[in-house]
Amino acid sequence: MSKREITVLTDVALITCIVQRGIADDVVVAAQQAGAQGATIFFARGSGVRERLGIVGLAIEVEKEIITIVVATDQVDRVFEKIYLAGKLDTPGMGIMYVTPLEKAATYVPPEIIEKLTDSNASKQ
Amino acid sequence: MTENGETKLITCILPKGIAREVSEKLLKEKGIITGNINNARGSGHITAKKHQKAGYQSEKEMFRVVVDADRADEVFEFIYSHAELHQPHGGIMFQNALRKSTEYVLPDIDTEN
Repeated sequence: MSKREITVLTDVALITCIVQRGIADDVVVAAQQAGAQGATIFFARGSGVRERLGIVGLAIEVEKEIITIVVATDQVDRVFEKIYLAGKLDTPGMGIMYVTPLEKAATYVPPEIIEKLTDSNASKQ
Repeated sequence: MTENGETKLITCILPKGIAREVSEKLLKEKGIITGNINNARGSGHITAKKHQKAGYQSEKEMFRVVVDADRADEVFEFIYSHAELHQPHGGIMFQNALRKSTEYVLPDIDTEN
């Protein structure tokens, strides 16, 4: 196998947000406006507040969407807050979100960005 | 059961159709028998700005594998190169420590009887 250099990203965190089906796109748009670069969405089925609300619980969708977003640690609070507001997570039954610290991440980083980072690190030293 | 960060969870978000191939290579070349794949949709950071809204997302696969901490870097690099993550639109992968996990070991089966 040929040797290939990996640009490993550290100082990243994963925001996971579980919302009712149909709401994920709004959440993703809000996250991108706050600086998130990408998002992944998948479907799930969940229970929680719905079962405790009695007849009112019928208004809560059983089908859920889970959104995962990788963000730099310095952006976590801003993106988290925007998602919280966009998903109306202060309302019972709307969903839940949490942040998981990541040890490292890897993806394609355009060469010009790597060059820019290398130059800025060199000038700091 | 393993505890206290002795295992790591590696998660990959890949374009549709790659995850199964990667999981088979992990089995053959690294002896990792358990990995989970689920379908998803998403957009990435090099998706053009005007296409970053809903409707311009593409199909993805999420691939998750739990590995021993001492093999995590090796497996991470293996997946990175075999999943073509160094290419534009190749996806993203990340790793985090697990507080507790279980492992499934295949039982010895008496094949003679």
